[in-house]
Parts: sequence; structure tokens; C-alpha cells
Amino acid sequence: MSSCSMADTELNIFRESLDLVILKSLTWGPRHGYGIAEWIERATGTVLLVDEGTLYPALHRLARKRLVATEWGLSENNRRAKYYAIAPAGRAVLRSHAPVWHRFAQGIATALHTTAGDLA
Amino acid sequence: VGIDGIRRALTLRFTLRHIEREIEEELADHVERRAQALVDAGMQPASARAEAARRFGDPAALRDACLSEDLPQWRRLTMQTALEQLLGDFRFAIRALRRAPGFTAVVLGTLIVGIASVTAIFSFVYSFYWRPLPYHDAARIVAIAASRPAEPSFDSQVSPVVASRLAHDMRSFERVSAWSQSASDAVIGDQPHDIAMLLVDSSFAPLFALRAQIGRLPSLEEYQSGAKVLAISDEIWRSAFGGDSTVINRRIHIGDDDPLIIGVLPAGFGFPQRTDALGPLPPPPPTDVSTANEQTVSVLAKLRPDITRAAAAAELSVVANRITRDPALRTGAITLSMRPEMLDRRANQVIPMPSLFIGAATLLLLIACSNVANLLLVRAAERRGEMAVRASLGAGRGRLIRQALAEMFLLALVAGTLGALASALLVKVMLRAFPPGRFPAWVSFGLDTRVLAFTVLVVLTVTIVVGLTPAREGTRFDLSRALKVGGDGGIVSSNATRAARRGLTIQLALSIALFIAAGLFVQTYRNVSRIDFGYRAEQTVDAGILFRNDRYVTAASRLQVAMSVAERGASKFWRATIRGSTEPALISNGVPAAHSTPARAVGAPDYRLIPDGDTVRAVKGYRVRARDFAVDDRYFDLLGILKVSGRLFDDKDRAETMPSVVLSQQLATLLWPRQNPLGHTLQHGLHGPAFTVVGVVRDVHDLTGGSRGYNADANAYAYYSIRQVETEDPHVLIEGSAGTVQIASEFPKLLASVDRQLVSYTGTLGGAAPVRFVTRVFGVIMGTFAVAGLLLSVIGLYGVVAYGVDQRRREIGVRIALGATSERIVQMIVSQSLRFVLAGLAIGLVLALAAGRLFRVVLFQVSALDPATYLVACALFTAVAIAACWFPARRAAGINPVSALKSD
Repeated sequence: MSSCSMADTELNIFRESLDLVILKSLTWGPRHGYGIAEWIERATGTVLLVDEGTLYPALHRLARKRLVATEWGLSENNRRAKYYAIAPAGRAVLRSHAPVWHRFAQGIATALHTTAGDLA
Repeated sequence: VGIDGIRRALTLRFTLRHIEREIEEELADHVERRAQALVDAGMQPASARAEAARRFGDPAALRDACLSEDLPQWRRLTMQTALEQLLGDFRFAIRALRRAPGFTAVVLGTLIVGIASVTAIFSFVYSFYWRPLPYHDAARIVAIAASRPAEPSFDSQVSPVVASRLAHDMRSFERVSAWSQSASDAVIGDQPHDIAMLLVDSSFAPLFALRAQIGRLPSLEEYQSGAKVLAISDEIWRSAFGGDSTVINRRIHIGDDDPLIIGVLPAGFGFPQRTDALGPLPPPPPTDVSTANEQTVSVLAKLRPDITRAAAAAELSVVANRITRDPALRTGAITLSMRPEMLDRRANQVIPMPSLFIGAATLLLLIACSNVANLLLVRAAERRGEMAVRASLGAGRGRLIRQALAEMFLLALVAGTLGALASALLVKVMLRAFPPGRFPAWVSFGLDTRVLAFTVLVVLTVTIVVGLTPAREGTRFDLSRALKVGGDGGIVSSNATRAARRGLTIQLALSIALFIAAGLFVQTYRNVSRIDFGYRAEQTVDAGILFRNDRYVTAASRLQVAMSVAERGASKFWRATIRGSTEPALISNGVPAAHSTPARAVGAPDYRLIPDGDTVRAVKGYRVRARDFAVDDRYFDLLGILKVSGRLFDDKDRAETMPSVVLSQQLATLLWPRQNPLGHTLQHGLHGPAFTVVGVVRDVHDLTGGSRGYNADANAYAYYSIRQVETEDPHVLIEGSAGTVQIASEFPKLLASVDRQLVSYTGTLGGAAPVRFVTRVFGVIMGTFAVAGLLLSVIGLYGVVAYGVDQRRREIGVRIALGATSERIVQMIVSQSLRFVLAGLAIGLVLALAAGRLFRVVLFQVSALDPATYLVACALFTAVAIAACWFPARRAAGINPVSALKSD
């Protein structure tokens, strides 16, 4: 789980955040890719995904790490779709990393909002 | 269809392409859903799709990104699935084969018989024809033979002086080595051993590139001094010393000496036949030439690589002339000749047709493979129903083919393993069919692992490739048709049956051709082994005496020595030593023309045989080539040459009595056809005395094998009494059950009791033994072929007929229900099966006739068109075929119509 550490490169900051959001989206039950994208859009209220497609490499990465399980099934309108479900390992990552991210995001936000040049 | 099917069977469900498609499907699904959402929100469909695609990003790049995430997992999964599927397939194959024990047994039997016999035969043929001779540069090694004008065909030994002159003078030879052989009783530990000693000079080891495997060979000083040291053979080292490396510097007791063991020879070295120990040749006394001549040695030479044999032979004759003219050497007139020592050993003994055996082995392989193919075809047809059911339950065609492959592979694996074991066993059994110790030194029979690997590979490849054809056939079907219960199963499978029968016809044809060829060859062996040579000489030693000093100048004095030796040899003591049952006899070669000196003096000897003094009827030497022998009274008795009429020599035939001659039947018939030869006279040359024919004896034959085929013609012999003709060089023939090696080693002592200074040389009579032995080897091989071929054909026939009966259960049931008697059913099935058996028989006979023309040359006293062989083969195959059909037919006749109609 080295990719979850905070010491990663800047690219990984975005990656990690996306991973966590995806895992969070699945805590209410299995979803297909589009469903996850919709949830993220609504939940974050922002365009977290510049290109919606970038969701999919992330999903496949999570699958490879066995943080999510995949299964082909039928969606509500009887179309074949690939469903993702959070795996026990995924829940564990979510639990341990979410607080870290809270503090991290908080810190970034605070820093970006501050007006004083000299904090001393 | 085939390639694709196989690939699909082999590659697994998760192909890369498959994964790619899944990703593409997933991505496309997303775009579609987004477009739909946009449409639902009120957008125009076309612009919704464009917007959705724009928001999604580059699908190809995303697909590749996903794929690179999936790959490791895919690989792991593929391996795992492959393994699981493989195990599953094998489990399934085991179950399937278990359910058909008859089929499994027959296929395994065929494969095992095929692998074992072909491997064993190939191993034998290989050791005879192609295994490199176990000597370094074998082709360049020649043996030097000396001959005297008087006895054109003798003496492979020369005096050491000649040997050293050859080494010195001959430019064509890289090396010249003198060697001799002796047999001694040795005591190793407490065990007596019969040791074949090879005594060599210092050139021998370099000539053969011979090195000790442990210890060393004699040093130059040891060679020069004739030190009592020796290197023992690998076999003696292992058997008598248990392969103990501390054997070096131990002593063994040989004869009267206790030589020191200094080394162990490499495994497999034997020259000229068996070698138990190698030591330095005793050096000749250098000063006294006359005594040096008493010792004789055999001479080997190695040609220089750039010298042709013809050039070497030319130089040799020049050197021989020089040696003859050198008064200091006192060799007398000799001519020297050479022959390729190593190559001759092989060429003289093998039947000149490796292709015959290779052809036969290939046929056998073909038969085995076609047998298996038939059975597989039949089984595939049989399982159409099962395949259909499984296909309808969702098993893909690839999976069905894969399972068929697994079955083949399993069969092949088991058959390969058991076949290898069986061939090792067969080689052992075949070796037991030959008397031990009779193989030439260069033949080392044994299972050849490369040959085994090759055969197993061929059989397995053929099995799997052939096995796949029925598997593909068997899985290509119309589901609904095949599932129709009892519908047209018969029609579909009759195709398979027809193919199987075609295969079987070819197979029968091949095996009958093989059987006939083998039959002819086995008869050849029988004929060769039954040749009545007209004499027995297996236990007889032919001992010659070298009269090289001036003490025995006259023929009479030489004969006197030979007679004294024979007389002493007749003593109780001597005969007890060699366990002789008859007294020694005397024989001399050469022209027995006691008073024909004038003719000789004129020039060329007059070889004409003049019957009854009638010079008009004189039979020229080139018309009747009689060989003349001077023999004593005991000669015919010792060699067991039987009298036909008249009398043999006895006390009445003395120098002063009427000159008598005994003829061989052949000669008697040539000279006096349709007349009683007794009382007629025979004159040898125009000026020779007239000998009266007193008796006729049975013919004596020679057997030669080799490249021109067999020859065992009777020879025309004239025997004269040794007391009535001038003898050139009397030999003593000694018979005894102690064995020729023993007698030969004892003879010098016997000779020494007459004259200590005389030297002897010994040889054996009856050169037919090796030819007969080799013929026997090949007879056994061909017999194995014939039996294996017959066995395979029976298996194949039984399998196909039994299957046919099984397929027709319903039909037969109906017939029985309609009142057909069981005799009628049996008759019907047997006669239907015999139709294709007869077709195979006919083709096979044509094949055999064609092949017979090719191997005529290796047959002896049996025609390649021998009607008896053909008849026996036909009768046997028909009988066996009927039996193979009869059993399944009996079973068919016993079918219960009710259950037959219910089943299926």
C-alpha cells in the first residue's frame, strides 16, 4: 500500500484522492462506472473528473489492488454492465486514509485561504 | 477449422483480445449512458452523443491505461485457469478412459507393442550397422597378412623381425604395431578366471588412442623390457575387484607369473574380440635372428591420413620383396597383403541390407499408428452422442477438443512409459535368444536411449495428431440430429466405420507383407542353421608347425615331426587335458604330386585332372576346381566326414602300395557322372601318377555371408593319403571339448615334447559359425517383427469388428426378434468383415511380391516367391481374422433383442 503514503509525488495526490472518493462511492453498494461518475459529480459538486474517462483506469487500478471486486451484471434497463463493489481491503483503506485526507485537505485549504505573508 | 479449433482449445478463455473487448464495452457503456442522460435532460441525440464523447476523453488512451492495469492480473488468472483446466481435463480423461477399459487396453497394448518392438529392433540394427566402431580412426587401421606361395590363403602372423622392418620401411604407415593374444588361467583372489590376454608393443596404445581409465598403461621402458605388468579390463575390474580403485599395484596370478596391475582399460575396449588384460609383448631376442623367427606376432598398421589404400598396398608389396630377398631375415618367400581390419569385421558379418530392417521397422510403426488411428476414429464416432449432450449443455467445441487431446496425451504418456520399460525388457529377452559371448567385440547390444526417445516421440506425435482428427470429426456435428435418440446415429457413424475399415485394410496389407518377408527370412535362418556342412569342427584346432630352421629340410622329416606330434597327442594324458574324444589327425594343403616334378619344372603347374588316363577327357583346372588335401587315416573320423562308398585310408596305404584317392561326392559326380567311380583312376597333371579311386565321402560345404548374399556350395575335394604324396606343410588337427582356446594354448607344450625349438601357430576350422550366428540374430529380429505385426493386426481387426457389432446392436436385435438364428448372425458378421480382410490380404500379397524382388539377395535356399510362405501367411491371417471377427460376432448373436431395442 505504498501508494497510499503521503510522501508520494504530486500526481499521486490526485490519484489518491480519486481512489478514496471512488471507494467512498461504493460504501452504499455496488455501482457500475457511470453510476460512480454520477455519484462523484453530485457528491463533490464540482468537476473532479476533468475527463470522465479517467475514472476507469482508476477503477481498474483499484481492482488490481483488490480494493474493489468486479462482476458483470445486468443494469436497471437490462443492459450488460460491469459492476464494482468495495472489497474488505477497500473498506480498510477508506477507514485509515479518510482522516489523513481530511487533515491534509484542511491544511491545503487553510493555507490557500490565508492572507498573512508572515505567519509568525 | 482445424488450426482455429486447436488454438481455441489451447489458448484459454481470457485471451488478451477478450479483455480488450470487455474494457471497450465498459467504456462505450459509460458514453452511452452519459448521452442518454443528456438526452433526458433535453439535448438533441446527436449533440448529446458528441458532448458525452467530449466529456469522456480519449477512449483509446483510456482503454490502454485500463489494460495496463489489468495485465498482471490477467496473466495470473490465465496461469491459474490454465492449470485448473488442465487438471480438470486430465481428471476427465482418466474418468473417460476408465469408462472404456477395452478401448484403453487395446490402444495401450498397440502402442506398447509398437514402441517396444520398433525400439528393440532399431537398437539391434543400429548396433550392427551404424554405431561407430569403438576404435579410434577405425577406417585407417589395417591388418597385415603374410602368405606363402605354397599356401595362398594363410597366416595372419609374421615374425617380429618382419614387423619391425615394416615399421621401419613403410612410408605409408603412420604407425605399425605388433600384437598377440593368449588365453591363460588366472587366479584373482581365490577365484579361477579364464583370461584373454592381449600382448602388445609400445605402438599399440597410440595407434588406438587408448588410455587407461585409472592408473596407466605400460611405459616405454616396460614395453622394451617386457616387464610383467598389465592393465586389466573394465569388466574384470568391476567383476573381480568390485570396481575398487586400490586395485592398482596389486598382483594377480596368471599362468606362472604374478604380474602387477598398473591400470584399468576403458570400458568396452576389446581387441580383436574380448580383452581381459593388456600387457607388454615379450621382446624378441635381438641378436639371434633364427630364434627370433620362432616367435610370431600379428601386425596392425594405421595408414597415414593422406595415403590411399592402393598406394599403401603397392608400397607393401615392394617392402615384402625386399624382406624376402634379405638373407639375414630368413623368412622365405612371402607376400604381404593388408585388409581394413576394423571395417572388414563389420562387413563380413552383417547382412548387407540395413534398409530391409529399417523398412520393416517403419512398416511396424505404421501399422501400430494406423491401428491406434482406427480405434480412435471408432471411439470418436461412438462418443458422438455424449459429445452432443455435452455441447448442448454449454461445453464449447474448443473444450471438447481439449479434452480429447488430454485423453490422447494421457494415453501417449502411459504408453510411452510402459513402452520404454517393455522395450528394455524385450532387448533382454532377445539377448537371451543368442548364445552369450558370441557377439563380435564391436557389437554392443543394448537398448539405445536415443532410438527409444525417437520411437516414443514418433509414436506419441502420431497418436496425438491422429487422435485429434477423430476428435475434430467427433465434435463437428449437427446438435439436433445427433441428439435424436436412436435416429441416424448409424448413418453418421458408418462414415467413421468406413474410414476405420479403409485404415484396417491398409494395415492388414502392410502386416501381411511384413509377415511374408519375415517368414522368408526366418526360413533363411532355418536353412542356414540346418546346412549340413558335411563335417564338424566347432571344437577342432588347426595347428601348424613353423619349420624355419635348417634341421627339417625334407618333406619326409617334416611329416615325421607332425606324425610324432599326432602320436603324442593321441596319448591318454594329453586327451584328458583337452578332453578329446578322437585322436589328432594330420592334413596338408598343396598339390599332392609326388612324382610330378617334370611338369612343375617346365613352368606353370599342370592342374588338369585326367580321369582314367584319358587325356581327351582331361578336365581342365578351370572346369573342375578340385581342392587337394593330403590326409592321414584319422582325418575323416576326426571331422566326422562320412563315407559314401568304398573305403577310407588305412594301413594299406603306404608309400610303396598302390596310390589311392578318396573323392568328395561332388568331384566323383563331376568326373564320372552316372558311374560308380570306385576302381577308376585319377591322374593329377599330365605327368602325375595315377591314383585309384578307393572311396567316396560326403561333400564338405563352406558358408559365406556378406555383401553378395549367402553361398554354401559343396566343394570338389580330392583326398590323398599323406603317406603317398609329398606334403608341403603338415598341420595337426586336434579336437577336444576343452574348447579351442584351451587347446591352442596347450598345443605348444605338446609340440615342445617333440622338439623344443619348434614354434606353432593355431587357428580354427569351421568359419561358418559367425555367419550362422549373425543370421540367427537377424532371424530373431525378423521373427519379432512378424509376431508383432500379426499381433497388432489382430488387435486392430478385433477392435473394428467389435465396434461394428456394437453399433449394430439395434439392427441385430431386430434381426433376432424377426427370427434370425445365432448361426446366421455369426455368419453374417464374419462374412461381412472378411470382405475387407480379403481386400487387405490381396494388397498385402502384391506388396510382398514387390518387396521380395528387393531382398532376394539376403535369402538362402528359399525363393522370394516361395509359395509355401505365401500360402501359410494367407491361411494364418485368414484364420486369425476369422477368430478376431468370430468373438464379437458370438457376442452379437447373444444380444437380447428386447434390451437392444430399448437401449439408445
